[in-house]
Amino acid sequence: MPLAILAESPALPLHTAGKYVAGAYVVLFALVLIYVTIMAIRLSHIERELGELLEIAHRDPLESSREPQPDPAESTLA
Amino acid sequence: MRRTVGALLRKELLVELRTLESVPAMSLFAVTTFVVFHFALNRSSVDGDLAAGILWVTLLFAAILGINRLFVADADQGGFDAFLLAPVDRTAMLIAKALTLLAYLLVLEIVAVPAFALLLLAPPLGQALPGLLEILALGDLGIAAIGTLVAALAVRTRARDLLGPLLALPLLVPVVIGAARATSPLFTLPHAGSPQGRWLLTLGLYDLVFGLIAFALFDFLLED
Amino acid sequence: MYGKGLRTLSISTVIVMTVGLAMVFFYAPLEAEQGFLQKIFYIHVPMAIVTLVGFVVGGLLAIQHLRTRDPRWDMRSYVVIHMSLIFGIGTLITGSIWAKGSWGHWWVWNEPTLVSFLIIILLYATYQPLRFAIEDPERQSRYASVFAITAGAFVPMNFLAVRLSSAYLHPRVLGSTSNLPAQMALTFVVCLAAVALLFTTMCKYELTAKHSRAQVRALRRALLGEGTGPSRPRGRSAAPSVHPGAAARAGTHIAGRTG
Repeated sequence: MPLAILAESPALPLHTAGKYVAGAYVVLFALVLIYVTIMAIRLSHIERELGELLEIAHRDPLESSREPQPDPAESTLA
Repeated sequence: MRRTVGALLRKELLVELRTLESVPAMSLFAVTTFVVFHFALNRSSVDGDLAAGILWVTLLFAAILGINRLFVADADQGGFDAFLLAPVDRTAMLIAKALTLLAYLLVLEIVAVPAFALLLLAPPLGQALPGLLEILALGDLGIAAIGTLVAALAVRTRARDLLGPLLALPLLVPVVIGAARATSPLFTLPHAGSPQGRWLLTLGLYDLVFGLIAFALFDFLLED
Repeated sequence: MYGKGLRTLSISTVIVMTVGLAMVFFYAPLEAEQGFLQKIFYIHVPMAIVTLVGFVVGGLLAIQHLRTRDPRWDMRSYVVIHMSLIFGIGTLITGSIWAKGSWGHWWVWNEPTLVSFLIIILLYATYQPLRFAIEDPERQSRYASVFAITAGAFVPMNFLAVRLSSAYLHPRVLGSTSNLPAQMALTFVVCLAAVALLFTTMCKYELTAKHSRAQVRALRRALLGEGTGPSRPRGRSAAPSVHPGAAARAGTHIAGRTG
C-alpha cells in the first residue's frame, strides 16, 4: 500500500525509470566484463608464449642450458 | 639564487626583445580573437558575464601561445644542458621562466584590455579598472605557475605543441572560473559592482598551491 | 609477487558486491522524490568517490616513485591512474543516464560533480599520450610522475572551484547525499566498499598480469639470448614495464621497454 503511493509520486513512472536504472547497472557490469575479456586475451597470450618457450627448452637442451645472459638492459647507455 | 634568477630573466627578456617571437604574436592573436568574437556572436558590444568570459578566454588562449614557446629555444638549442652544467640551483630556471611568462602576460594585457574596451566592451573601462587589475594580477600568477610547469613538461615530448595546451587547459579551468566570475560584476551595466571576495580567495589559494607544487616538482623535470 | 593476495581480494569483492546489490534492490527503501531512478545513486556515487580517491592515490604513488626511483612505484601509479580513468568514464556515463532520467537531458551543467568529473577526465586523458610521446623510459616515468602529482593535487582543488561556481545558482539535480535515512546510508556504505574492493581487485589483477608478462619476456631472453623480441610485433606501449628483480636494481637507469 505505501509502496503504491510512492510509486505514483516519483519523477518517472516505474517502468521507464527501471530502464534507466538497468542501463546504469549494465554500464558497471559491462565495464567489469570488458576487463575480464582483456585479461583473458592477455592470459591466452602468456599461455601461448610459455608454450613456445617450453617447446624451445625441450627441443634444444644445449641452447637452454647456456648461462642466462646478464641483462644488458641494465646498461645505462640507453 | 637571486642573482641567477636575475641573470636568467635578463637573458630571457633580451632574447625576446631581439627576436620578438612571443609577445607580438600573443597580442595580435588577442586582438584578432576579439574581432572573431564580434562576428561569431554577432554582437557589437557585450557586458556582464559574456564580456568577462570573452576577455578571459581570449587571454587564456593567447597565454597558451606564449606557453608553447616558453622552453622551445632551450630545448632546441641546448639551453637545458648549458644550464645544468652551471653550479646553480635548478629552481632558478623555474622562477626566471615564470617571471618571463608573467612579463609576457602583462604586456599582452596592456594591449588586449584596451583593445577589448575599444572593440567589444559596453560599459566604460574606467570604473572597472582597479578591480580588474587585481583580478588580472591573480589570474596571471596562476597562468604563470601552471604554464611554466606544463611548458617544461611538454617541451621534450614528441608532440609538444599539442600536449602543452591539452595539459594546460584543464589545469587552468579553475583560474578561468575564478577570474571570469570575479570580473563579471565589474562589467555590468548600468554601473559596475565589485568583485566578490571568495573568487579572489579561490584564485589566490589556487595560485599558492600550484606555485608550491611547481616549485617542488620542477627539479625532477630537468634531471638529464 | 603481485598475485599473492589476489584470491582473497576477489572473493571478498564478490561477496560484498553481491550483498551490496541485493541491498540496493531488496533492502533500501524507495526514495520519495525520485522513486526507482534514485537507485542509480548507489553505483554512481561510489564510482565517483573511488575514482577521485584513485587519482589522488596515483599522485601519492608517483611521489613515492620520485623519492625512491623504484620503477615499481611508477607501475603502480600508472595502473591506478589508468583504472581511475576507466571508472571515471563509468561515472560520467552513469551520471549522464541519471541526468537523462531525472532532468530529461543527457548532460546538465548545474550538477557540479559531473562538471568536475568532465574536467578531470579531460586532464587525465592526456596521461597516456604524454607517456607515449616520451621515448626514453626513465624520463617517461619521471615526467609521468610529475604529471600524476600535479593532477592529483588538482583533483580536490577543481572540485572546490566548480562547486563554488555553481553553488548558489541552481539546485542540485541529482540529489544530495547528506541526510540519508539509516537504511539507505547502510546500503550506500556497503556499495562504496564493494566498488572500492572491485577497483582494488582490478588493479591488483592488472599488476599481476603485467608482471607475469615481464617475467615471460625475461624467461624468453634467458632461454634464447638477446635480440629476441616478443612473439607478436607491437607498437610502443604507453605502459611502463618492470623487470623481475627490478627492486634490486632500483635507482639505476633501467632500459626496460615493452615490446
